[in-house]
Order: sequence, then structure tokens, then C-alpha cells
Amino acid sequence: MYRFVLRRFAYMLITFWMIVTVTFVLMHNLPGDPFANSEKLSIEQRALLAQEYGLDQPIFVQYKDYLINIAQGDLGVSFAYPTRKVTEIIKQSFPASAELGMESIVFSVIIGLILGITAALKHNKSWDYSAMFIAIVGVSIPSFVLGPVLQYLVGVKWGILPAALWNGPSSRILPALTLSFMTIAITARMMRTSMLDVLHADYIKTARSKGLSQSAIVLKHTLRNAILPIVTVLGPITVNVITGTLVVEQIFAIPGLGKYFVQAVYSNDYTLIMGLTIFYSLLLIVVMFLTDIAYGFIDPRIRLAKGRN
Amino acid sequence: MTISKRFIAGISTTALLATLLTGCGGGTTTPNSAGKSDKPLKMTLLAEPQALDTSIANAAVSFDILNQINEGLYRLGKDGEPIPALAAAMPVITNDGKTYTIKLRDNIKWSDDSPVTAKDFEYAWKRTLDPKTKADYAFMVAWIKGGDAFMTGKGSADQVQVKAIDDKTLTFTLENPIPFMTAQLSFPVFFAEKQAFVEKYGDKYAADADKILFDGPFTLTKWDHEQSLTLVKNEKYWDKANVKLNQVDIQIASDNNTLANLYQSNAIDVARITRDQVDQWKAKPDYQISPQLYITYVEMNESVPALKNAKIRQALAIAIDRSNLVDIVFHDGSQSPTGFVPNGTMNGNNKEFRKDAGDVLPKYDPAQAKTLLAEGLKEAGLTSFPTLKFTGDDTEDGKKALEYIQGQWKQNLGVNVTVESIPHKLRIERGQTHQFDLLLFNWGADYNDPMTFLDCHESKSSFNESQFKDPQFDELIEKAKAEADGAKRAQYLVEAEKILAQKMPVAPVNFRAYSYLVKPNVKNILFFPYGSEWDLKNASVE
Repeated sequence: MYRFVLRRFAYMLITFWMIVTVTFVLMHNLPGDPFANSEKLSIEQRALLAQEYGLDQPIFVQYKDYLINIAQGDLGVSFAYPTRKVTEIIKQSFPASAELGMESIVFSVIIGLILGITAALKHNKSWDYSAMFIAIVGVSIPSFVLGPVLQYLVGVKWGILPAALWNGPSSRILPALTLSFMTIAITARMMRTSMLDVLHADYIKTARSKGLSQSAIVLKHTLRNAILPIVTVLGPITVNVITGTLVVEQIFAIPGLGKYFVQAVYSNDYTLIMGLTIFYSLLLIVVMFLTDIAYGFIDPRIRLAKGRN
Repeated sequence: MTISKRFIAGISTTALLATLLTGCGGGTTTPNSAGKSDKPLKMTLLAEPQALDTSIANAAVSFDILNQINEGLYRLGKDGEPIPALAAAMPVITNDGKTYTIKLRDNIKWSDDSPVTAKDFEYAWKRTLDPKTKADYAFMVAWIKGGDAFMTGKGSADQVQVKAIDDKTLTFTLENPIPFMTAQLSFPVFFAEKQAFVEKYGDKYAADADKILFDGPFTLTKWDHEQSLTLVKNEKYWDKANVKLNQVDIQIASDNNTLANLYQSNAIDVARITRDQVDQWKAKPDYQISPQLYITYVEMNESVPALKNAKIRQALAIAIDRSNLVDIVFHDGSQSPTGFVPNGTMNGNNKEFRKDAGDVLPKYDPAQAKTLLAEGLKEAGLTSFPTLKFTGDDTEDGKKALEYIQGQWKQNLGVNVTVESIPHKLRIERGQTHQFDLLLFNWGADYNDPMTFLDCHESKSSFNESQFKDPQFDELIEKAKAEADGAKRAQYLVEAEKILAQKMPVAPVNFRAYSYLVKPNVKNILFFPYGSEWDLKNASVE
């Protein structure tokens, strides 16, 4: 197990370094400069500003300086928000995205699992069809359609919940719901397929013939095996949801990290682009790392097999 | 681990019910009909203010807030004219319109009880010019003699001709006479800063609500970045008797649809809306239009042989049905252009430029356009008009405008262009490096004077993207820049614009406006055509 973890950790570092380098190169090839009002600045003025920011240095020098800074935990100051450090911006805005993402995931995984398990157990009966119908609807309606519809119907027309903004627990419901549909759909379908596979496996037939009750079969044997694929994708799903809150955050005016993604690229905010990329890739890498380890725990075969290698 | 399905279902249902019930408890207040305004005004900003440091602020959303928590020597009134704010009276102007002497009002204080002095203005302006401050709007302060040298690193701060003669008197000398300078002193880059306070916080100055000193109608009591700002009436403000609002709650929301929904559910009192929502609201009393000093035009690159001929450019311009374009593409109170300087721009002689110059653009005329095109092609020695590239921003308005104009040229002239929608930064770069054939361009004024819309067409200007060259036009602009007499200067500018109408270096397509919804019980919000969007000093909620 120890060597397994160590090797994974080394891969993490290498992947991280590659991501940082590729993003840095791509970013500096973007046309335009990071100054907000560049259309109003004359060429001389922009050259002056570039000098002040050290952007006129050769690219290798800028890269080296940047790596040194990251090693010390300094992600620099945002170009678009000159009084705020990138680490501060992330620290301030991430909690909203994380909260929204987590609420959405908890909700959607629970609902998704329930739908998927029900569909599998009541295979080819009406429960199955309705559960899968809900799943298809969920995956087909994009959040930028669902969001405004919910906002208008529930927030304005019926006035039950706040139409937008992030004030108080009631404002969490509509955005979390909008975000959940996709994950409910994915989870439900995966769980159903996975359970059906397992239910038809030989060892389940053995258990049944041994005389175990249906609930014992489902809970002790089926679930644990069927849930493996879900665990695999849960990691990336989590990160996806947290980062994919972009559209929902825009629609519901939520002060999260999602919108910085697009905004930073549009405004060529170098430090913010790099900072966000580093943050999200770290998040993803760590989550994958934890997923690997969790996998090792759930399925001892994997742990032992890897360990032996 | 034996968790039964029923248990899971039970938990989730309970959780869902619980959140729904708490939701129903809260909700938003509806405006009550009975009287007095201790109710907060609920506004929104389209984005987080990028900085509340008056030296480096460069976005309308930052100016909006700065205008409420700080103040300049002058403030713009209802008709856009400057009225004394921290200054006691209008400035004494001498030396052919170049030297200003301004006396400060008595009893003006910072929020830490120290007095606002003339030295605070001198310090702030020099700080803005300092290259180390990296201020985008330093170019405005550089209108002061010695300012440009300091800003470009060729001179020192001492050579900048702005001085606090004593605590209450400020004087400065401009490089050239500027008729709109007094009004321009209402722009946040000309506000005061207290040196000791700025130096105390260094890099973090104005980064949070507790790191700002206030001398305007309101104080900023809370700033949750990216989420909300709270303004409270400033009890130390010299004119607090005229400030009716006690509190302003500002939320940050950018989506147009969301703003309309928030407005409709009474969560906010003011919303800016766009094309899709206008029809629904335009008959209601909530609807207001705020024309902007903002123009959209088609740039025609004269290094392309087909675009070098003035008749061809004229043809392209008059083949576009501008009023129809404005109605279909923008549909938000924007107006069909009648010249190269938008409605509402003052001419530096107390008159509106547009009213003085009249309508100078030739009318939409497809038949005449065809004739001009044929004549122009013959003059240029071309047999047909080549297929050129028409570039613009990939915003919704940008794309629609490109397609509309492409359609007009095809229909009215038989001319084909390929449309190219690109990100904003790339479009700017292409424009400034002249890598385009036809470009859809936007320009908003930073100051209320025709010069900001005209001197970009000077042959030497770094903003002359079309590479237009007319010695007569250049001469008129240079004469206007040096002219102290307001009437003469205005006349030069009118003549200069006439040349543009003849030679058509660019084809104007829109004078922009913003559409707003304002709750009928909210009164006296001032909306501006440039700079900051609104001013709440005298606003009230009934």
C-alpha cells in the first residue's frame, strides 16, 4: 500500500508541473494584453504598463520567476483586481461554489442512487421506465434553460423562493436543483446498469440459492459491488460540478469561483488564469488520488494487485 | 453497514421539506404604500468593482461606488453641468484658459475627522501620474503641464504643475486650454487622497471597506467581494442635509434575465435591461432611457485598395438602413446616428454639439449607393468589389450587427463580405495593428466633449485604425486643440466633422443608450451619459 501511495503521489507532482507549464505557454500566446482598458491606451502607454509589470521580460525569465513564486505559495496579484491577491480571490469565492456544488452532489447522488437502484430492482416495470425517463429529461435539459425557467416560475411567478442572489438558506435551493439534474441522470443510469450487471452475476445466484433474503442480497453483496463505477466517476463528477457552476452562478448571481474562469481568459488576466488553473488541477489531482485510494479500500483485489506490482 | 432504502428515502425527503419550509419563511418584502423612506434602496452592479482606489479605478462599476463614497471638487448636476462640491465656487480661470485656481469649501472632512485639504488633491494627482501606480486613467491627469513627462518617466513629480498654495487653495496649469476641464474634475481620477492613510495601507489601500477614507455622501460599511456592498449615509458629509437615503444595498448580478426577474420579484429597485425585455416594459412608468456618449461604427481600412476610394466608402455607408438596424439589433432606446459625435455631447461652448452641427450623415439611399459604388470602382480602376472580411466582437449585439450589415450590403449593393466574430481582446489587437478589412468598432467617451470622438481620426493618432489621412481635417483638429475661445473652437470641430461626413473614413451605425427599470416610488436617481452610470446623492425611496 505504501509504495502504491508514493507512486501515485509522484505522478501527481509530474502531472501538476505539466499542467502549469502548458497553461503558461498557451496563455502567453493569447492575443492582446492583460490591461482592462487597452482600447483606450495608446501603444506607448501600454508599453509603459507592460514594463512596470515585467511583461517585457523574455518568456523564460517570466516562467522561472513564476515557478519560484508558486513554490513559495505566492500566486501573484490579479491584473483585473489590482488590490487583491489571487490566493485571496480564490479563498473568498471558492466557498460559495463549493457549498453549491456539495449541496447539489449530496442531493443528486442520493436521488440518483435511489432512482437507479429502484429501476434495477423493478427492472422493465413501470418504476424502471419512469426512473429512466426522469434521468433522460435531466441529462437533456441544459442548465441555462432549466435555471431561468425555475427562476421565473418559482422565483417570480409563484414567488415561493428567491429568484436569485445568495442570501440565506432558501436561496440555495433553486441553483442546487438546477445543477443536480445532470448528476442525478448520470448516477441513476450508471447505478441501474451496474446493479443489473451484478444482479445477474454467478455469485448472486449462489447467494440466492443459499437462501439469503432479498434485502441481504441487495445490501450486503450487490450494492458494494455495483457502487464501484460510481465511486470512480464521483471524483471527476464532484470537481466538474464545482467548476461547472459557472452557468448557474451567472444565472442566480452567486458569488462563486465559476465566472472567474471565463472572465479571466477574456481579459487576459495572466495571474488569475494561472492561479485558477493551478487551483482546479490541484483539486482534480487530489480528488483522483483519493479516489484511487478509496478504490483500493472498497475492492481489496485492486489494492493487492497494485501492491504486488 | 445496513442502511435501508427506506431510511435513505426518509432522510432526503425530510431534508428537502426542511429547506423548503425555511424558504417559505423568508422571502422578499413588497414595497409598502405608507410614506417614509427609511427603507434601503436596493441597487445592483454588473460586476465587482475592480478597485476602489481613485487612482487606479478604471471601470464604470468602480466609478459608480466612488461617486457615492468620495467626492471631487465638482459634481455633475441633472443637466450634466458641474456644480461646486468640495470646491467652494466655480474655478478662477486665467492664462488663456490654462490656469485654474480653486478654493475649497469650509468644513469638509474625511471620515476620520481630519480636514480635506488642497494638499490631498495635489498628492492624489501626482500619485496617479507616478508610473509605479500603473493607473489606466493617468492620461487624463497628464493634461496638466509636466504631467505627461512624469507619467512616461521623463520628468519628476515636482515638475508637474499642480500645487496646493495653502490648505484651502489648489492651482494647476494645463498644457492646452480644455473647455470641459471643470466638468472633468468630477471624474474619480481627480478626487483627493490622504497621503498618510494611503501609505499606511500600501498595497492594500482601498482593498476592503475598512481601508478607505470617505468624504462623499455615503460611507461603505460592508463589502463582501463579488457579492454585495452596503452604503450608509455619511454623517460627516458637508451636504448631508440634502442626502435623503439612509442606506443603499448593492448586489452584484450580471445576467440580464436575472436582473429583470429580480426586479419583477421586488428584490431590487433598479435594473438595466436589454432588447429582449424592452417590449414588455416600455409602456410602463418603470421604463427609462439613458442615452450614452457612445458610438458604434464600421471602420474601413484604407490600406485595402478597394477601401481607399471615398466614394466606395460613402456607398458602403449609405447602403445601411441605420434606423432599422438600431431597432432590430439594439432595440433599447439606442438611436440612429446623425453624425460622428453622439447626441448629448456638449461642444465646449455651452451648447449641444449635435444641435449645433445638425444632421451631417447622408441618408440611407440604396440607389445612390449603387451609383457611388460604380463611380468609385471606376475611379479606383477596379472591375468589381472584392470579397472582404468584416470583423467584430463575438458579443450578442456584435454578431447581430455584423449579420445585419452583411445582409444590407448584399441586398443593396450586391457586395459580399465574410463575417468574423472574435473575442474582444483579439478584436482590439486587430484594430490597433490594422490587421482587418472592415471592423465593427465601439467607442465610449471619457469626457463630455466632441474631441474624444474626433481626434481619433487624426492621421497621427494611435487610435486611427482606418489609417485615414486628410491634412485639412488634421489642421482643424490642431487649431481646435490650441484654441481658448469656446465659440471658435466649437466651429472648428463642426467643420472637421463635415469633412468626415464627406470622406467617410468610418460609417456610424449606432448612438447607444441604456434602458432602465426604476420602481416608481424611487425618485431622483441621476443617470449619466458617460463615466459612472448613476448618482444617488439626492435619491429617495418613498
